[in-house]
Amino acid sequence: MTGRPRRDPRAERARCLVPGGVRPRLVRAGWDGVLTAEAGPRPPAVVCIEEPAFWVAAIVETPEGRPDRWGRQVLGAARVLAGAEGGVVALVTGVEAGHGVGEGGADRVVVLDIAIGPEAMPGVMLAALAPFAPRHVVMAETPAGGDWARRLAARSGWSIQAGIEMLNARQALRPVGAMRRERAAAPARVLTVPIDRVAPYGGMRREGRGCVPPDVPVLEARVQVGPVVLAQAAEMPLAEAPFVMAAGQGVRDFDSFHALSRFLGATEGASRVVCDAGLMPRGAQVGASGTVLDARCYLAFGIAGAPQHLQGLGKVEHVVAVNTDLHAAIVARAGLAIIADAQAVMPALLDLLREEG
Amino acid sequence: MRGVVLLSGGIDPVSGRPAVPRGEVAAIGLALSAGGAVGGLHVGEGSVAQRQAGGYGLERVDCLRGGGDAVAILAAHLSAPPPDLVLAGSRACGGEDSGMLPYLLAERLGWPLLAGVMAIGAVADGWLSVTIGLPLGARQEARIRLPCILCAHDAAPAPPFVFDRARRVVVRTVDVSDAPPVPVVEGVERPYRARPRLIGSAGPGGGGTVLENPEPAEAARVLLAHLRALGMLGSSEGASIDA
Repeated sequence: MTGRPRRDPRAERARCLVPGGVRPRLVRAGWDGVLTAEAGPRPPAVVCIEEPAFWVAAIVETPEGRPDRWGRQVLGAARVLAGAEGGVVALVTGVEAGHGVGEGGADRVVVLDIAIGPEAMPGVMLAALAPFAPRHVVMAETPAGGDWARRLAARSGWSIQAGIEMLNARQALRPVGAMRRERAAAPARVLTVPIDRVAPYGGMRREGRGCVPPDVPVLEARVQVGPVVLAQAAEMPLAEAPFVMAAGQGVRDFDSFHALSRFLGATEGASRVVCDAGLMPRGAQVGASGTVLDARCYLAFGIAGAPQHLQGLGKVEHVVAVNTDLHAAIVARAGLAIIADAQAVMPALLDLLREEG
Repeated sequence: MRGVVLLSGGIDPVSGRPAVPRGEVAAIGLALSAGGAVGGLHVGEGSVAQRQAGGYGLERVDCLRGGGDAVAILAAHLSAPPPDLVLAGSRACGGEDSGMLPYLLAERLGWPLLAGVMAIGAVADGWLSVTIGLPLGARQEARIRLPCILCAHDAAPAPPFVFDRARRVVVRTVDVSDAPPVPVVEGVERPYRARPRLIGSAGPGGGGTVLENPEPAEAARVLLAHLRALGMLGSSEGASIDA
C-alpha cells in the first residue's frame, strides 16, 4: 500500500457531467460559465465589426421581404470579396426588408424604397454608398439588378464585370466573345452574379445594423413606370410558371383537373402518356422531351415519376404528389406525398376550396 | 418616327460565324413596329452579319469606320441629326458582351433609357409608351421621353428573315474621325470552360411526409395546408376569380 489517495473515476465523471439533456456531456475544464449559459436558450453569436479596413456593398432585392436564394448568394459574393478585414453593407430594395440580411452576412443594412424608378436609382445608390466608399459593389444579374448595375457603372464611370461565373478575393472570371472565351481578371468595382455561381455565406451571423437611407431629391423624371401586371397562370409559358399542376396516367377526370388548376391559379402540365393520348396539348408536356420547369412548386396528380419525367423537375424546389403507388419514384422526390386516388382527392380539394370561398 | 438599331459585330455562339444576335433581331422588330424609316448602325468594318440584319427588315446599314471608342463615335454620329429612337439588343455577342454600350451612350447623350422592352406603343406629347417584360411572364407599362434608347427583351417578337431583303440591303461604309482609344482590358483570356453550377441550393427535398391512404377530405385538407405553408396560394386568389 502506498500512501497515495485512491482515485474514484466514477465520482470524477459524475462531477463533470452537465445536468439536463438526453446525451451525457462532460465538461472537464470546470463548471464556470457552463451553468449560467445552460440556464436559458443561448442567443446566437453575432459578429460585430465597428471600423472595417474597407467596405464591400451588396445590392439585394427582397421580393418576399427577405433575401431569396439569389440574394443570399449576392451577400456571399460580397463576403468573399470582403474577407476577414472588410465589412459588407447591404443595400436592400424592399419595404420590410431587414430580416435575414444579417444571417446572410451583412454588417450594415440600408433600406431603399422600392418605388424609386430605374432612372433615379443610380443617383440614390451613389448617395447611399458615398459614406462607405465601397471597394466593390455586387448585384444579382436579374433583369432589375443587371439594369441597376449598368446604370450605376455608366453614371459613376466604375469598371464592371457582368455575369461572373467564378469569384474569389483575387480574381473574377466571366465569359466573353459569345461564351466561346473567358477572361480572368482582378475583381472590378461593379460585379453582377448569375444564379447558382457563388455560394451563400455560411459563417457566423453578422450584425446587420440598420443605417439611415439617404434623402435624395427626386429630379424631373424622363421615365414613368407603371404598376406590374402579373401574368395569368393559364397563359404563362410552362418554363416560366412558378406553380405547375400536372396530370399523369392516374387522372381520368379532366374536368376536375381543369377546375382545380383555375382555383389554385396553377399552370397546367402533363406527363408524356397523357399528351400522347391527346388528353392534353403537347406544349404541356413536362420532362426530357417536353419542358424543363423552373417552378417553385410542382403538384403531380397520378404521376409515378419516370426518370425522363423527373428530369423536367430539375430546378423545382417543392414537389407535392398524389399517387396510388407508395413505391413510385415521385414519392421519394416529393416533400408531401399522398397515397390516394387522384379521382377522389381532386373533387374533395375542390369542395374544400369552394367552402372557403 | 426615325429609328436606329445598333448592330454589334455578332457571332454565332456555337459555330463562331457572323450572325445577328437574338436580342438585335428583337430590336429590329421593335423598331419596325414603331413605324417610319429604320436604319442600322454598326461601328467597325461591315461583315455578313450586317447584311443578314437587313434580311430582318432594315433598309440601310451604316458602318462607321474609325478607330477608338465606339461610344464616342456613336455619340458623335447620333448627335448630328438626332433620331427619335435608338434601339439595341440586351447585349452584344462576340466582343466584351457586357451590355454596357447602350448605357454609356445614354449617359453620353443625356438621353433616358429603358431595358427589357417587349413592345412599343403610341407617341403622345413627346412621350413614348412601352411595355417591359419581367420574369414569370409579368408585364409593366412605362412611358419614356423622346429621344430615348431602348434595349429589347430577348423574348420580344422577332420579324421573319427574308433572303431577298438581305440581298438588297444597302450597306454603306462611312469614314469617321478617330475617337480617343478605350483603355486596355486587363486579364487573361482563354477558351471558355463550362463550370458546374452550385448544386444542393435548390436540390430535391426528398424524404418528405408520406400520407398513406387517407380519407379524401383529410388528404385535401393536408394538401391545402401544405400549399398555403409554401405560399403558393396567397397571390393566386385574385387570379382564380377572373380566370
